Amino acid sequence: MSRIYTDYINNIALTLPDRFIDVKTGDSLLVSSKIQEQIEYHANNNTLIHLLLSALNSYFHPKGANGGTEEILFQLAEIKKMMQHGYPPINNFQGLAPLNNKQGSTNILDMKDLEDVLEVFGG
Amino acid sequence: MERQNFLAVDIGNSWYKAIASDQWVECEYQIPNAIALFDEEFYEKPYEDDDVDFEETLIVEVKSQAILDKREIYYIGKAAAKQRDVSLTAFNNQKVDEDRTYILLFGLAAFHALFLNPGETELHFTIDQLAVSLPTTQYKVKKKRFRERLIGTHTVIFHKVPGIPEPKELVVKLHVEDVIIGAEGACAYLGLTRDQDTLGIKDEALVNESRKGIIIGDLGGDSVDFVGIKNNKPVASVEGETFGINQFLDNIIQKVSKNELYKFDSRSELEEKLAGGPSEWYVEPFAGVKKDISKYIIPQLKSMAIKYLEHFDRVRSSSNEIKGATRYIAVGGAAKMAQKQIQEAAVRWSERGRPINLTFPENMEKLNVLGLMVLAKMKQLKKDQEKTNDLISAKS
Repeated sequence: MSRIYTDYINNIALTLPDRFIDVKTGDSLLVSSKIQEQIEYHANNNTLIHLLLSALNSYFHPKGANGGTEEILFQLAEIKKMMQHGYPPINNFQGLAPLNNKQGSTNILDMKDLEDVLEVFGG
Repeated sequence: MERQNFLAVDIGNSWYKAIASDQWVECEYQIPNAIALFDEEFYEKPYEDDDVDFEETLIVEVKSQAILDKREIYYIGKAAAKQRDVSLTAFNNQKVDEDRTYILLFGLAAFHALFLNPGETELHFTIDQLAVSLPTTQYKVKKKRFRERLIGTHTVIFHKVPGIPEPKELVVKLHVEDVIIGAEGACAYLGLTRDQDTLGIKDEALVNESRKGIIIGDLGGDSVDFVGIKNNKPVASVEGETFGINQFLDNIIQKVSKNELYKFDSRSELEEKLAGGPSEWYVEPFAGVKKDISKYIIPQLKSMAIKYLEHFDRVRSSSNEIKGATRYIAVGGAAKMAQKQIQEAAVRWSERGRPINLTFPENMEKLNVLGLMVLAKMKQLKKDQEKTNDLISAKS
């Protein structure tokens, strides 16, 4: 039995059969429940087109998937760094303003802080 | 110390929001980003001058090096929105290059000058610091040119002013001494964390949170700007996407006009209804006939909310610098209007294991202009300080 999934916002409609033919190998395959579930989710979320294009992208450009290991290694390195240092490293906070000028007037405002703000926020 | 005039203007694609301050008085203005050519032939003379609200009938002519002098006269703001040939912002408009920016900006500043000096027919008004904003993409490449165009003297002539018999008119010469330009979104962070009077930090909790990272998503009329803040500084600004509420407003206007025979004057008329909440979501095409338009509004807000969250999700996973951000903040007038729909859409993301828990701060539609005012005051303070230092070194 086939089911129809629609994404009205992007004008996408997809009729899903129970089985499909892998266009690279010619094998007839069952549509897995995982695939079905994802299609249903993205149809509801109006992101069906993005799911399809993502799937096609990894099908036709499989080397993109290999590049992913770099990303994983990077994340692992980050985690390792955090475990070693306890996060985040203290020396990153130089930009913070002194915390004790609550009721102060503009005179108390640190000129250094002011210049920092002007430099990074204004032009 | 001399009285100094500060003017901060958030140049939105839907509204110009402004705060003017001279340390004694603070004024707020909001006018729709709309202009229309003035046509003497179609001008209906009011029966009584007293009936005319000046703020809603601004008819201006601007002479300035910032724009080509075409000797043209325009309705601006609310007055323009009511005209047949009203021009609203086009998709992806380039604020620095368009005359409308200067006509509206100077018109607004001159109106403020008149408000402070009623009864004058010709006056000079100095703005010591003018702070204005640009979307992130335009900020990077155009802020210098924008600044150059804004500094200097600009003449604004008001025509058909109630209470002033023709051919007399009101002339305001604006002297812009200095300009500072901020990026939309980043300014909102300043507005959130800095005190308007002391300029010091008022929300330490948020500043502390910025150690882990904060992402601000500023949803406006035609652009959504994302800014990553880390350690109290903007670290990544993700290009201003050309996406905003205007396209959805246009859809609603079109549907209402087709199905309910009611034509909105402009987006701003619809936006005022939206801001008023569901109890005002109806139109009256004929006297006494009330038509519910929530069925056109809700689906559009929902679809905008979904896309806004998609942008958010894409941004947080695309930039290494802000990947670890723990707090997401929604700002901008459009985000305020669709707050409910955005929160509903966010539930779906949580169910799918990619939660986007947005914070909706107080005054979220005004944060950019508040941040701009902070920048203006800081810049002036720095200038004054430098002057004092020069004096001291000159004396010694």
